Amino acid sequence: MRNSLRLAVVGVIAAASFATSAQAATTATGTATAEVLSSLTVTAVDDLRFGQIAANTGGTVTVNADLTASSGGTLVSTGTRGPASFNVLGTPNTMVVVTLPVAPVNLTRVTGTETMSLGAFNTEPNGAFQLSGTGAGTFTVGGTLTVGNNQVAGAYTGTFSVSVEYQ
Amino acid sequence: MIRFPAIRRLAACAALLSTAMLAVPVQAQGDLLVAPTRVIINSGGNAEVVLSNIGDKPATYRISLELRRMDEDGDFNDVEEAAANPAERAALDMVRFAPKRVTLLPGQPQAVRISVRPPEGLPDGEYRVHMSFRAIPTPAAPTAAAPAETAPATGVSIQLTPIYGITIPVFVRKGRLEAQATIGSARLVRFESQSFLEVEMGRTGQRSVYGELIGKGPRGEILFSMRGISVYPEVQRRKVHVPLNAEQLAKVKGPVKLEYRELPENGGAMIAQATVTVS
Repeated sequence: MRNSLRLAVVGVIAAASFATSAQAATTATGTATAEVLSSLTVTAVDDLRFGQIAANTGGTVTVNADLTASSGGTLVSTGTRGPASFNVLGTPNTMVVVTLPVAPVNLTRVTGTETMSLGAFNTEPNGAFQLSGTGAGTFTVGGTLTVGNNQVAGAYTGTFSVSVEYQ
Repeated sequence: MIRFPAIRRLAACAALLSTAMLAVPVQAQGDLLVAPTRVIINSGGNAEVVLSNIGDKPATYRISLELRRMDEDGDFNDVEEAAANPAERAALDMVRFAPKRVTLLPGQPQAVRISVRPPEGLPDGEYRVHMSFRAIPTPAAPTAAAPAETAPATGVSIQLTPIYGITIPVFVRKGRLEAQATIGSARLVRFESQSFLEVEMGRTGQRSVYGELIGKGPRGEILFSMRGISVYPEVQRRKVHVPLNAEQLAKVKGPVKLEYRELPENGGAMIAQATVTVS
């Protein structure tokens, strides 16, 4: 019994529509009490983009989660700049919290060892937010990139961690 | 300010263009689903959480335990393992799980088994870790993104890969634990263009409280309902911010009955209630 129930639940999770399938699964197996699992999904929509930066002089490029972008110092930044964005799907009207790195992360030049730092992570909505009546939500993540004086030209790659949790 | 001579500026533009073309867009990879999203294990025992790849590519996920502390705004703050207090240390030590890493095809689910073995003499209380499920990005083909070293490039391009995931709290409760909650004052606040009802909530006892906050008008009509409101043991009080649309904003002015209840699937029992006047 436990196995079949677990299988049903796993089947539900593989299906796209959680609520509908959950009901279908309950009916199909004829169980009086179904194991109701609340779920949470995260999908990435956009990457955090800083565009291209002319590296003659140092400075900062800030892309904020609220879609504003700016640069400090004398560097020239061009191209598409925009925050990372993510879609969340979960239990309707429930609060979720986004956790970001507290400390700056390093980006390393491909084929090299030079680094740049990315910090001042921010999210929009700021702090905890509520999923909609259909359980959907979206949040964006921005940050500030610090480019050194005479930063070696090239492509820099790095990672940063984002996690979503019910409150 | 360093002024570019015209020629250098042209060269810089050319370099920017070349790096722009070489930049490889990062594919969304590692989308995931986790269920259930809260695990409570009384004393010792086992539980299972399902992780599923809902993306359209195979992905490798890492599962790990983290520590978080709630603050008075209800946000979570990361706690480094080295900074763990004795209860957090005990929680990390007694929660076992497997697998720690798994590669899943699109649509493929994987059960993660959790087992808890409390050590002898563990004091009664609620112990908590946060289980994190995160996709490990596949290394991007480095040569594709690398501009040739000989190119007169003065540009810098950035490729950032978010390692995104879901964390869920895993509670271990030992002993008979009691907790009470209270609802204090409520007031209207505004952040940027959004109005919120800020509700003060209090908690006492040895464990967390968890439920739904419902606001009702004078005739008992529901003005708002907000699920998944918890107050963790590390805080005695916290603020809850309920987002309000224009219609709700007009209706909450005056007396509002606030009810903090268990979730309907947990029986819906009243945890705390208060009638507040919102101005």
